[in-house]
Amino acid sequence: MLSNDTILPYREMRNDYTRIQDFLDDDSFVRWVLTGRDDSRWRRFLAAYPQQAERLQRAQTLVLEIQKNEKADLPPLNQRMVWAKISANLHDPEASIQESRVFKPGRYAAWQWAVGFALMLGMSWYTWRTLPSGPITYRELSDSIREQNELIEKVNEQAAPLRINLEDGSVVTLDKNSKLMYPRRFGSKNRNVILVGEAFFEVSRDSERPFYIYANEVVTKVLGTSFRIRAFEKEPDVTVQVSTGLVSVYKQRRIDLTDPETDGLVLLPNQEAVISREDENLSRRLVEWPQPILKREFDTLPTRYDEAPASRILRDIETRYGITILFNDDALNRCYLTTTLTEESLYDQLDLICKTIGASYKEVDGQLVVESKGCL
Amino acid sequence: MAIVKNDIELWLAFKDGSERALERLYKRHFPAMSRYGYRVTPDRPLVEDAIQDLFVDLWWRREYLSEVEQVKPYLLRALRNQLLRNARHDIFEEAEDIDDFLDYLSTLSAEQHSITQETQLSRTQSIQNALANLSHRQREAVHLRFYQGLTLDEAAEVMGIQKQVVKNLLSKSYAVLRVTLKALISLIPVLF
Repeated sequence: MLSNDTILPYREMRNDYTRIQDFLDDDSFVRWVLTGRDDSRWRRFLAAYPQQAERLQRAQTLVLEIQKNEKADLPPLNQRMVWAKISANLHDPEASIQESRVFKPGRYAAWQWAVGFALMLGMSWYTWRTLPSGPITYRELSDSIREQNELIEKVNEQAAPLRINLEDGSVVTLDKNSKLMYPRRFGSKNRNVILVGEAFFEVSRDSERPFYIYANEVVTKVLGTSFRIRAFEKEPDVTVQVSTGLVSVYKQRRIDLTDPETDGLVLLPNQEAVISREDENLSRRLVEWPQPILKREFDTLPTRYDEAPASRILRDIETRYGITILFNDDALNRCYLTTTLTEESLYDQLDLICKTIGASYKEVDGQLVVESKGCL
Repeated sequence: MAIVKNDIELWLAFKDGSERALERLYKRHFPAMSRYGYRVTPDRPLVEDAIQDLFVDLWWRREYLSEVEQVKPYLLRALRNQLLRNARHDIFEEAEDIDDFLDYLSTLSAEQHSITQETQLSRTQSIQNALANLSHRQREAVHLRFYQGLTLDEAAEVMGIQKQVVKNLLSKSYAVLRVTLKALISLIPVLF
């Protein structure tokens, strides 16, 4: 009787395959059936354990049958066409999937170029004399931003959001029925894009080059942050919602790219600005569903409070959401609460706290104010 | 004289800026990617767009990519993520939740085989019909393991789940398929 050691010097020659499944769970076995690799090992296995032959062969047959079946399912994808699209994008970033119009110098009438150039130099005579007053349209905006040789316009007509990678690493996720216009390469002083519709922006940090988004009459200036803008041509308002970072929003009546900042608002996270296009109204408020600005894994604040003063709880909430809560320290230092803050929304948490201590809260200009007569 | 380069060499060359290398990787892995993509969702434009977006994305981010040990599982996982991103508001999202729930159930009842399924399937049913009885996730796991040839760890990485969950998904699939095998085995001669 030959011992196992003689035939199989390798330590890893195991034989605990009691079911077909045990073969199927073995990576080496599957690889052997599909590619022939480890062939000597499995021949040795069978030589050593001939009683496993039938079980092994059943496992093998099953794998081969599945492989055959999956192979037969040839999806009707067009390999060459997809590569053509990929190849086109390896040099010109984001030649669009849907519509794409790449503006090259030769395409436009000379006078439009002169106009654009004049604007660039900040000659205000143009803006006063030639442009009509009233809402600024996309066409006017796009005609006036001609900083680079090539401008790209991406349109999203599909329901699925369209992700656009800009040259500086920023990412714009374009919603349905929206379009974004941007240069292939940004200038050295700033980064300008035009939006019609709705999009979510993740702007990469670049303090040397502020990021400007022109949407209808609203200009949003960003250093590095993520936020959502909604500016449809037919809608009366423009909404800017901030997720993280800082955004400066202001209204610009005339197309004057060299003198941007007029009166505006600075938006903090969880705040949004609503800009009425008709009157000069710029208002700020909290977004409808404020989200914590701390990522779950970095949130070391407690959620369970045991006889803790309300002032401490409110300060923790402030930190978690990045929202300012104003309250009377003295009064709320003496109000004690035992509570657990679960996954409820910010407003639910405030409702709970206020109800418990007999206080009330309201929102003023993007901040929260808690009013209380104190507790006994 | 054609020099055949392996995946790793092509990967490094592509990271270095070789468009040719990227194209060769594309040609080499497109069939596998399209089959897997189609297995995940039979929406043809969605899969094509996802493959396109993925390769363009890889190209522009090539300097920041890590060196991979196995290119194919990497591409399959990247494709899956791209499909998720592109189809964010679509049926995919709902399907994902259901799949997660089913995966969770499978961890609870790993040893429970569906007896009723075994008795209901007739002996003459082909493997194709048998596979059609699997859930979406089971089908995906089976595809990755026995067509793409991924190890259990690699399949887990691609699907974004734990290795044990992959094993459970496969385990349930075997129960369904084993019945079919009884019908096949009598027709297949012993191979060695």
